[in-house]
Amino acid sequence: MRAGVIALIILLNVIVETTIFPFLKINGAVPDTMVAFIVAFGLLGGNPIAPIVGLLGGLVCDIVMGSVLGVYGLQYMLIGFIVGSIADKFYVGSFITPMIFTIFSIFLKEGMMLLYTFFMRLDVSAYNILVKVIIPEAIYTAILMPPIFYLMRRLYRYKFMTKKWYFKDT
Amino acid sequence: MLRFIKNRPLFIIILVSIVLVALMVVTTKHEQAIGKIEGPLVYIISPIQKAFYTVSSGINNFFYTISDKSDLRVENRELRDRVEELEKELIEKNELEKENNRLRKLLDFAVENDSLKVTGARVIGKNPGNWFNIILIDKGTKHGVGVNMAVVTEQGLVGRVFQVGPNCAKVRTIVDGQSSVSGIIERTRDNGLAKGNNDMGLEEGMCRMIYLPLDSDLKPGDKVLTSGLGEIFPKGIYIGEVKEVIDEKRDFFKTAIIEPGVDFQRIEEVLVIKSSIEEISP
Repeated sequence: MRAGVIALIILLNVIVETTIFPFLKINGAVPDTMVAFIVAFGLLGGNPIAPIVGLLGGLVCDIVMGSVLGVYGLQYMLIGFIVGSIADKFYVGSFITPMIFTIFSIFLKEGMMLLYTFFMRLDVSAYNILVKVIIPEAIYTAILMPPIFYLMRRLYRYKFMTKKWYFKDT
Repeated sequence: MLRFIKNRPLFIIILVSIVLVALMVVTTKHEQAIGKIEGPLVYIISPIQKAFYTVSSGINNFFYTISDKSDLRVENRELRDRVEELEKELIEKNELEKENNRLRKLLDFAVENDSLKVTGARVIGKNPGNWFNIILIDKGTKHGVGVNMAVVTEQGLVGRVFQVGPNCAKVRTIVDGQSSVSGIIERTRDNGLAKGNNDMGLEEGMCRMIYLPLDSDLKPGDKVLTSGLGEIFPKGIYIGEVKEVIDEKRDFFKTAIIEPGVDFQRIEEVLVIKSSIEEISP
């Protein structure tokens, strides 16, 4: 049941991101709701659910619209792992914490993307990327975080969502 | 080392990261690799994407139309009761008219260039995020679309197909940072390379034409066409217009900023040129 819900969330999100968000650009920036969902999974479910959702969501993005397999998969998985690892050290009662985590995650994701463009030898200006992409995207996504987090918290009231998965320890 | 391996979550994440980096390296070298595995997933979601894209494109055009017609707004205020019905009719009519115009222009392009074998396709998705400029079209191998086929509209060159599935294909647009097209200045006949850019600064949505000869007499307003070199794009397709010429004394070449002829924000229908360059060349 949980796997089905997660798959549905990922697919719906990718569809919305590739079809509706291109028309909702503000100053050329679009939000990344996949990051918002991964942060929500990280804060509510912790590890390993968040990196798994990140990996699967990223790979779907790579397959559906990417040109290189693994770019989004790696970024989203690492975001999920980091958020999932430190989530229990924070109070997640309000919307403020998820919004701050979202901003942090967007900076992390775009930092990794800058690194990728560096290795791909693409000519980019880090300053322009920061001003024109990272900051607007972080704000835009953080604004969308409260409704997403509200829905995710409601989803986590169902028992099937709270059943723990573990990284098997030796 | 043993303690590190015993920290299993971190070990798994590092292992998966290494696998993903390896995948990135492999798929960077072999772009078609994704095409082979994307089949079933894209087969499931491309019809949904098509529906969503059509709806959101319609809504976008609706607001565009409304902002253009202020007299319609006045009429809307006066006829509040009938407003929904009128708007619906108007939107449908405008949509059909716009679609008709777009398709007629595409047809005109196809008729004017009757040496080209073309097939029409609809745009059904754009890449998520802000970095790459890739579009998804609803034609694939089943319709004769293949890798490296040029994609155009009546406004000019859109890009080239770089991955293809049975019912859809991904097109790297000319403004994408990884795109380069061999171009020629129509007036001066200078050759250069039109490269896209991922720079979100002043040149967002523009191309850079590099390797232009220093003695070139190009000016803002000059038209840039494909040169036909490189065996991907047929010769003579309009790329865009020179906006600015950069002549740095330390460089061995001139550079020009090109504004593409295609409006990538509002692209809905495209033509895929199916004939190979050998077939087109006289």
